[in-house]
Amino acid sequence: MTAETIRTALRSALVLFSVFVLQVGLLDGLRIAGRAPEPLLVLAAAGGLVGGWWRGLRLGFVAGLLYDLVAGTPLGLAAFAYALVAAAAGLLTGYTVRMWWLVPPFVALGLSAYVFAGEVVGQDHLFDDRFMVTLGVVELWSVVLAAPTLRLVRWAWGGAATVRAGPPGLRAPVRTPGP
Amino acid sequence: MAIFQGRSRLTLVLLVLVTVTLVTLDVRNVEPFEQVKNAAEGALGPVVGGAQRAGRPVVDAWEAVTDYDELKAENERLRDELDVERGRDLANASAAEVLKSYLAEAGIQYVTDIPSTTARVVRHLGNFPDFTVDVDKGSSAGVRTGMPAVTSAGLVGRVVDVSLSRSRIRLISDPEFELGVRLVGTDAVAVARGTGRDQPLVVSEGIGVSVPVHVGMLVTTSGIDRSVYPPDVPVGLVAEVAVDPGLNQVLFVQPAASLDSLNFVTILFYDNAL
Repeated sequence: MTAETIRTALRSALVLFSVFVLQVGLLDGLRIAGRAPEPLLVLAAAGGLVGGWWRGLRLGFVAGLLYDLVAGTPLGLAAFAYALVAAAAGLLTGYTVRMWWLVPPFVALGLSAYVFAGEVVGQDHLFDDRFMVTLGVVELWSVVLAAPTLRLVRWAWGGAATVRAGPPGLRAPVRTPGP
Repeated sequence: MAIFQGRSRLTLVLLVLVTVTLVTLDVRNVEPFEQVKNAAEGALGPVVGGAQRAGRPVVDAWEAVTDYDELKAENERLRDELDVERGRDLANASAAEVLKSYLAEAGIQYVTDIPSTTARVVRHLGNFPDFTVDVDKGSSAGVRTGMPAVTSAGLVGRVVDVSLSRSRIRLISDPEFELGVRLVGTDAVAVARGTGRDQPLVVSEGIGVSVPVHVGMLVTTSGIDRSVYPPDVPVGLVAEVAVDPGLNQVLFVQPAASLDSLNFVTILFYDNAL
């Protein structure tokens, strides 16, 4: 294990912990129409975009586990949705522009996956007649949080991230390394 | 799709397997898994509590701004209601008064002799509130899984998860929640079920058409053998009565406790719950 690997792991943990604290301590209380932002989901999507599918999947999985532990949903539900969306972000954007505006669609995908998976395992309360309001508010906040979150993840992963040099915002078409 | 090949496909399959396993273990309350989960929740508890205390001023300011119109309207509405209430006869006042009078009539000493602890309800995190509330007392305060939770008005639910400093209470409004109840003034004992948020409990079996039932009757816990709830804890008042094709009376029971605005609950250290 190299010093760079350790540094990257520590930075990742710090970013994850900071976003978690920010969510439970502050952002969860900043509600619009009774609905709160989902910064850990934004982090998962950003992780996939910056670090590729494998790094994103791991970050999304841990972020989701943290969310499950405090939100009271069955452990593994958010972990599944967040990891899935991070992996999707990493896989499907491998050959395209990586800009902040890619985050909100993946956040919408993650929230929908979370609710759908919940329905599958019997968590019927996740989908109600206010789901579209929830989605709208979460999307609005993800627009606000996308750029700073991407910046945070890039800082955490630095040179280890898969974003390569090239035209501004453009990523070279390379596949990310597997596990 | 070309990108879903080899390792990525295998990893996604593994992800599904791992998460399905985790969800299954959690939903089925497998003991060693629950202990690990509770320990993790216990470790996160102080972090969450500290973060919420630190962020409180900002959140309060945000709520003051975003909810100003709502609070103003609510304030005006409450003043109007207060004026109406002042003019009413005490006998027809609030459901709480009705409940008190029923308890007095039935000679019910509501759980006065059971040791208990009072806990504060903490804010539910996330966008998907379920049929549980978290409170700030856990195993260090003597709380155990299965203990009943009440307010001065009546039964709230049952403790389903306990960590060192926090507990999770499943509310009686949960559609999966069942409890034995007794219809005060009769010998009828039946099972009540939750039907969802803001909905009455339903008693659909055990009350034959011969049992005299009317709207406003008090429903309490049955306290039959091995019940996890002590006897005579108020559950609610009958709000509606119907008759099903099997000639059973179906009762819709409005919970006595205000489940939507819980700030504090009392957890009863009831022996049968352990």
